[in-house]
Amino acid sequence: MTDRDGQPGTSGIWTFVFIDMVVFLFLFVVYVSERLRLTDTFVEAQHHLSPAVGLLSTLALLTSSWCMAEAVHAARRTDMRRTGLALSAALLFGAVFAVNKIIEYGGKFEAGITPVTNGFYTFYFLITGLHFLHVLGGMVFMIHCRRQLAHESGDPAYVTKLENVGLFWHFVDVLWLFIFPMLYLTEILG
Amino acid sequence: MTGWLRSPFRVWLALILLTCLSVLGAEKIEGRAIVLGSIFVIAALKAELVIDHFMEARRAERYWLIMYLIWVVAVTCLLTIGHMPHMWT
Repeated sequence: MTDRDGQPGTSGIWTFVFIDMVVFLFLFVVYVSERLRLTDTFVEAQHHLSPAVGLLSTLALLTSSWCMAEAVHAARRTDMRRTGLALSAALLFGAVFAVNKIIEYGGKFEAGITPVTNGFYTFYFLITGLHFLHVLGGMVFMIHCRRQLAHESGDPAYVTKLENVGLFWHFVDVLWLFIFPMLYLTEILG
Repeated sequence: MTGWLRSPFRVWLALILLTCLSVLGAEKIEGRAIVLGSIFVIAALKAELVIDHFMEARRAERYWLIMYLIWVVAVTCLLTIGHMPHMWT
């Protein structure tokens, strides 16, 4: 299944992730161009986002990514017990991110803020919403791998599948590393 | 530095420290232009750590590492320059 000796995952996942990265790059381009056009609206709206909420999401996703990396390393060593533990921990921290995001969205809707409130919130809901769908997708793949683990004893095809899921999950993390400062930090500068 | 970062735990620790640094810098340090530039550079450093150590892009075909890092540089430049007009006011 692996296309190149020693390469993590298949070449298909590297291509898929890169295409997804380009899609988000275009979204960031449109965000920036709209921010330049409607600077005051964006700045005012960004003051209503909580950096603490963004920070919690970042810490949860980084920790989940680390656990995923540990799961892949353990699977390569055919240490299936440790793979299961690390995968469960990755799922748990992914769930922390998801719950935090749902609470954040709930707060916004309660305050009467929706994607059509203003230009900033259109991008806020679009970018974080698309990212959130990626998180949910990644978690579904992780649950699938976790369930399959009971029947596994270090099959190389399983390791490759786990590497693919891991690559996707780390990419979701990389995206958030830019979304976090872009939306939550640029307007709290001291 | 690269040797120290061989363990995923240490990479995670570095990522957490860099995250805290960017939040503290944004909240406490005066001087918008420098801080704004710094938080995106820190984001780029963190992305590079994830791509290099968690995704293990160095073990994939060489062009993937190059393409992914070009993406990181492009996004960092875009976001920094995109916030420039506000930075200087």
